[in-house]
Amino acid sequence: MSGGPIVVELLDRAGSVVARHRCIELPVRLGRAYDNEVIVDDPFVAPNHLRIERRANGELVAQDLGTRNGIYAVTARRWSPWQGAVKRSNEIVLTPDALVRAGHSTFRVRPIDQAVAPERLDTTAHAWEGWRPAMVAFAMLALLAMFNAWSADTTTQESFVYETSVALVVGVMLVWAGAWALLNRLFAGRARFGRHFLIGAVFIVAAFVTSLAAQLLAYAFSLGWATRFDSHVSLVLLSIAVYFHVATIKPLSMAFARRFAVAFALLAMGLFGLYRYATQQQFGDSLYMTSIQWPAIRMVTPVSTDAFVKEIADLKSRADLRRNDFAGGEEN
Amino acid sequence: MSRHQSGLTTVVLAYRDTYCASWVEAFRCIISFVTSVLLTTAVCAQGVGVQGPSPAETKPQELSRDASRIYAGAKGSLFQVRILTATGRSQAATGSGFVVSSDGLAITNYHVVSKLVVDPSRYVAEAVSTAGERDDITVLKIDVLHDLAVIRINKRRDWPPLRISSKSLKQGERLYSLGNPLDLGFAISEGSFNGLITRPYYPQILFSGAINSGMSGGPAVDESGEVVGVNVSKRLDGEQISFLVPAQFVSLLIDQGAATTVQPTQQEFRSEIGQQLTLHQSTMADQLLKAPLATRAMGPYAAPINERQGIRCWGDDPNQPQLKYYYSRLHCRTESVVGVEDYVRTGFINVRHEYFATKQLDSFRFMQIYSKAYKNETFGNYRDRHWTGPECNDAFVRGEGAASVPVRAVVCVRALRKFDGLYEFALMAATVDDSRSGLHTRMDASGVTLENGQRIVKAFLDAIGRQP
Repeated sequence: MSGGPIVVELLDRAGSVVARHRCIELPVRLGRAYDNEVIVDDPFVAPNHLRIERRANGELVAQDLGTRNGIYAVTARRWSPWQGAVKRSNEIVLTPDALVRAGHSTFRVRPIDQAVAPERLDTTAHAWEGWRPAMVAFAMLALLAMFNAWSADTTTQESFVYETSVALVVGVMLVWAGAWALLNRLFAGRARFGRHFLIGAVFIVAAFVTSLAAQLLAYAFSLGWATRFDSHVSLVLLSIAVYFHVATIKPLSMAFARRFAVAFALLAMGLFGLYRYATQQQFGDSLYMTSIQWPAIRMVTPVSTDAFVKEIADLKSRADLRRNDFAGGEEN
Repeated sequence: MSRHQSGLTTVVLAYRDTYCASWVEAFRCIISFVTSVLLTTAVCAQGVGVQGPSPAETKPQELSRDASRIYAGAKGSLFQVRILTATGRSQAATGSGFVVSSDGLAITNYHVVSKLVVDPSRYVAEAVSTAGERDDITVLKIDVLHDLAVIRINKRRDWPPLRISSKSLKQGERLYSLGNPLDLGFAISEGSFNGLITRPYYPQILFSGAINSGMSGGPAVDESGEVVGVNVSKRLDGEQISFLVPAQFVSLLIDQGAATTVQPTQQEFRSEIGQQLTLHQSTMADQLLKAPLATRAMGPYAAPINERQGIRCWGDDPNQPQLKYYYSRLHCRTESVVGVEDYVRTGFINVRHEYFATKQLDSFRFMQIYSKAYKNETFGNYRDRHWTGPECNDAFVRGEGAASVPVRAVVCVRALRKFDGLYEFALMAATVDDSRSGLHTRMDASGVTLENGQRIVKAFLDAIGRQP
């Protein structure tokens, strides 16, 4: 490493750059006073706080100019430099990734020949933002709500079920997408509401379709588990939706979104399963296969009543095991 | 509105069985439950008014000179039974009783002393005579099915016994019922004998006179002052429709109880109750299944039920022009249930058939309705003190009859925790041979053995089919 200009980068608490100062000549001084090359508005920083120099061997160093608060080498952590280990010293060697804290301000120094990552291929569909995805989402939700209202429309009374059903479904999804858009605005500076609305709509439609498919499958092949874990399947789908929501907020941290969604899925399904177990002593939704469908799709032949009734003996044995569940309480 | 009888002390319990066909109807049921409770309160309040001490109200129903004579003759034998909590000795239930032998044997209802029998460590009981004398009592012999108990007055042997009648009664004969209604004081009420009701498994005398909670276990005597029955229950939906346990069962139980000197232990009572329940269920199952189940037509389907002794059906075919499908139901239940404890009622069979059909709806929407109704069934929970949680199995089943159709059926079993070998079997079956009509059958057989449970479930599954 030789001479040449340097760039002093001031960072915020989350580690993002808030200001850059390009300095042609060294030494560079940092402080609150106007005679510094880098001026910092931080009441905990001295008028002349530190000096950045280049040693004979080419190393950049930061030197404390005799301040009360001193300078600290921060061992950077990924999430927040403020959480890392800190060490006060009079002189800190400035490698390109070394963070230095002076008062409440953090900075790093990089030479102008610092290598940067190659440009990423932009796969974002920039036209697919805003009202376009929002309209598609609205259309999907409205269709779903209309279908639902139609399938429950078995009376002759005029009850405006179609209108209220659409309003309800769309309203709930607006709130859901709105919450994600707010987070997006907070962490990434823009809302991307249309995208979040579309993700929510796709989730709802997917949950509806899988549930319907599970009911048909369960009936056709007499599969109790297919309807029994309906809620769990919905929670898996919800976790996938959460993954896409998080990935929309932070498009470059897919790994984080993945971890977040997996943690969400485990937590939600675990809590739901525990609740079911506490109330029904089983993790699923129902005690039996609850779907009755068209006769034509039944693929299994019925058993004889004798065979069916014979299995009642097993149920009786299972019930017998539970008879003394409450023994040990303060009774009898 | 509930249409079955209830024990005297357990007026509200009759409404526990309030019947809800689906969640859609659950709301309606809550409304009807609330209405029923309000009505009950009204009925009770009315009863109190008639029996109450207000002279203005008692005047029109002034007792005959005979009643005064009867009361004078019986009052020495009559007493109030008070069930008290062991800690605090506060009143948990009251009933009435009467002395039947000079060595202190007496009679009351089983349901009056059931707390003492089931939980002897938590309850004690005392008798209070019309003169205000108190004495401890012990339970010697119980008859859960006829709702009778033989008890012994422990120390006071100077209470004179009443004679048990062995004469047969004529319709319209005057009877007098005695007891302590609602803990207000001893009372006598006049009424008439209206025959033996033999529809329940255990015959009861229909007494057209007023009896009220707290009179349970008291004697009903004829003109000569001899006991012809024991007050047991009344119908809430009728006026002066009361029931007495016939004296012949009292005599039988006294003969059995006379030999007993000390109160049996909780375990002994429990096995006694278990035996009586087992006997009851075999009677119930045999009567139901002694011939193949008859069927009623519901649309093109054959809905199995035997409306024989003990089982009564009510149909409901509401005209619902707002629905795009047709719905009717048939609801049958045994007329009596066996009350083991306040909240354990068993020994019954309930059957509900629901017929769904549509001409104007497409099969998709019909299937939604039909499937939802099949889904909205409950089979009990795991926290019940008296029953285990349900253990269920389901399958497509086809009965043996020539007219049988395939059904989707689920059967759930719950065990009675305290009584060995008795279970509740719940069957839910839906015919699956048509996409625009179908029959749902829900059958509950409570307090029966495995063998009888299997027989009953099989009988119903075999009989569900199409009309010949």
